Amino acid sequence: MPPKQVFEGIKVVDFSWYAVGPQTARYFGDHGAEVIRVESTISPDGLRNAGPFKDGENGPNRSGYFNNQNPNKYGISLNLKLPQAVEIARKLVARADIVTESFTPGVMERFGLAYEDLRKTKPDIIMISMGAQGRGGPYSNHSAFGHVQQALCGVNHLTGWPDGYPTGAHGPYTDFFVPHIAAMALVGALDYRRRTGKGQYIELSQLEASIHCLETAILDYTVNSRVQSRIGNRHPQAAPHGVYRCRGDDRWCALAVFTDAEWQSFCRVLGKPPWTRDARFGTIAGRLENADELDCLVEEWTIRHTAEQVMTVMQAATVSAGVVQNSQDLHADPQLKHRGHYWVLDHPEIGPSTYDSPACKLSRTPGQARMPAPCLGEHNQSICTEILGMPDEEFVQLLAEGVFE
Amino acid sequence: MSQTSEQSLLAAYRVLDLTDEKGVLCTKLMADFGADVIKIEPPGGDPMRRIGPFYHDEPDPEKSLFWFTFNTSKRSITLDITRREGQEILRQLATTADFVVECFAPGYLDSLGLGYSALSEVNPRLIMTSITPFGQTGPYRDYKASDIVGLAMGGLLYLNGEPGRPPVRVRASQAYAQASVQAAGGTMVAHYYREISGEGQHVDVSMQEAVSNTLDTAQQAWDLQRTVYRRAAPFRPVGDYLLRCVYPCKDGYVACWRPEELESIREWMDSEGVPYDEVQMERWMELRKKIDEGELTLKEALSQEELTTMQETRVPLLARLTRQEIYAQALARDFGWAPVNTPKDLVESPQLAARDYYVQVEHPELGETITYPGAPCKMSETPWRIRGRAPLIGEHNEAVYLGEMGMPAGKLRRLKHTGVV
Repeated sequence: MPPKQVFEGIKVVDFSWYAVGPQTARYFGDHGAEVIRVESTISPDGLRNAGPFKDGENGPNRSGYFNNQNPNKYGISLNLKLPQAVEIARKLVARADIVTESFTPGVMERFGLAYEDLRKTKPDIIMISMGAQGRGGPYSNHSAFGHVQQALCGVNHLTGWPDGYPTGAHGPYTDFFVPHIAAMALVGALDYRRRTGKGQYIELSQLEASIHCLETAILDYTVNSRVQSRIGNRHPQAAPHGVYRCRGDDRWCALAVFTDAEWQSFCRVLGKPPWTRDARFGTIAGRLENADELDCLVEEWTIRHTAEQVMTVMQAATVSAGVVQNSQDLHADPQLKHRGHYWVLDHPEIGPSTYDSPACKLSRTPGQARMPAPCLGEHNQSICTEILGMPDEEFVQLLAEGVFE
Repeated sequence: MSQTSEQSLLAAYRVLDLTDEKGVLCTKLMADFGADVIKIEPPGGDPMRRIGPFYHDEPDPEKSLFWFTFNTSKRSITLDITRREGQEILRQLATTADFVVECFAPGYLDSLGLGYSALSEVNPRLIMTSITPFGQTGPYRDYKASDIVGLAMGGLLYLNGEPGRPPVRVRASQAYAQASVQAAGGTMVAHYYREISGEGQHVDVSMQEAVSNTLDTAQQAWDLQRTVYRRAAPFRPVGDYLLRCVYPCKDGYVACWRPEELESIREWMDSEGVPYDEVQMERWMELRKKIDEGELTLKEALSQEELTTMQETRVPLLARLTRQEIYAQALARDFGWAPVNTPKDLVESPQLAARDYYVQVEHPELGETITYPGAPCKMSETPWRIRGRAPLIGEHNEAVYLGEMGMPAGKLRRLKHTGVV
């Protein structure tokens, strides 16, 4: 009988924190693995102290930011500065398949939990380190959050208006690109181990992975010496192309018209007002050349309708169009509802709350929402006594020694 | 099965690549991780070959830098899958393939007899990954979406840009990039299951959902606090506050984010001779101490206005320094600050040079070698590697049709003549 879930029986020890590492480990939890998130109460994951918090009330177990990266995981808190805590971590690794971490280079070494150490404990362990700029090189020890990572890797420079700020994408954007590449490598490494019996060490620089989201920016420079820069919502092959103001407060619809056939459909939806017959707009070259004027004319039409109306009539005419949705819209979106995109998990401290879920629906083995994110140290006792078989007295003793801080 | 060495993540596996812009990064990653990826192009060439910029700005289907970027390590055959004979050949290819990755509108491949149900019948181990704007099911399944529409419907676009101006896109297509990398992750999960169970499956990827997974905390801000985050550049919404992230400097911009110490900033400003309000600075440092010691919450200590004033103190300091000067200080002071890099900066980066990031790829037809981005991660046993430049149109027709499928040469000639190949 094949297992019901992909990673049934696979064990992951997740030493990582913030966004990149925890999302990577989440892949395994979402598909049935036992993932143990190792934290510390002395310096908890920064996301536990970052909002939004349920009802605006701060608390380490109330953060939607932390919770969203960590469902389907167990939580243990360990003060890895103590040898007894390191010993527990080693025991967890000894029975594990995968270890993840995202500290500044050197931190795992100081704990005695570097790959070379863990290999002695578990020769075929698969381990991934996901530092900001990788191990080695002049900036190796510089740690930075995704807000700064996207500036480092070029996303900021390529986002915004030509006369405005290099705004970048919202939030620590690259934190939401890198984990998928890390997961790809880890799952592949599991399969490689299945084929050959060999574990391995994966060393990921978030900067180096992120450069793969820049499309042609690197080659345009290395081949043509052209430094691509931000161009607002312009597109070299489509016009009209952009977001257009609609009826209401801060409501917009995105439109993209690539081909002449799409342009004809677009004009029909507008009722073919006289300006659509202007010869300058008759070809894609002409529309691109007169894109500013075209944008104003299109907006004179969109402003009279709601964004939803614009999307609906354009899509009916097979023109690419979509409401610029905010997070309130997303929660009401009929498509996301139909797809069951948001998972609702009942959290012991904040009750039912919403989690993002995998964008891939696997027909046989879909990801499953099994558990909410762990409270800090929630499973200390069960991990020690049930998983590691530690006698209760020893657990109490270690507790008193501050091992679980 | 391909001939490449076992020492590669995916060397034992074959991928039939029917992607467009939404999925082409997914198959590039698979190819550079060692899979035998066969890009199936319509006769005359894939439409992505028309996407610029071009090598030396010469528009030519064999000179698209978009094509070059996303099709390294792949092979190419031409095949018209709208024709009956083309469909038969694809079904035959599917019998020896491990993956099909495709981006057609839902239902299109089914209408050609090439959907998951048809191909899984000839190869039950097959994994088919379908990357579409909204997924295979649901009220919007037939909606069209280019990158900007995917960004809009997934919720990222609304958050990008400056207040008072329209939401703004990243020039490099991020809805496509997200659909691709999340598809790659999910495809690998299905792959692992196939290898342990013998069962293939259909991986249904929604670009909208992929984008909606990138909103940092905007989704939760609505769920937990009924707050709608809005675009705020050069600030970013964080919890109840707006924090400034991007600042102009002498030769461009820098991104400044926590952590940073006020004491250190004051000392830095002193050493540069930049004036500031000393009374205010003392007060902030005191408040900061109280926050750090848990005596005050940030909310009790600072209003948004005061937080903004505090952050703006550094404006005159940054304005007189270059990006590299600021970065050198950030490194020395352990601040999470960094330059806003351009593509040129990335190519010339000392960090990337020290780590040997970029790779040289030969383009014999152009008589030169081109510098490409390198491994997204370094794997000790199964290194990532670009095995060759993107293929020419139908470059591997003979190798695949004659060599691997055993098609008689006469048949291939006829298929070429009738435009199937």
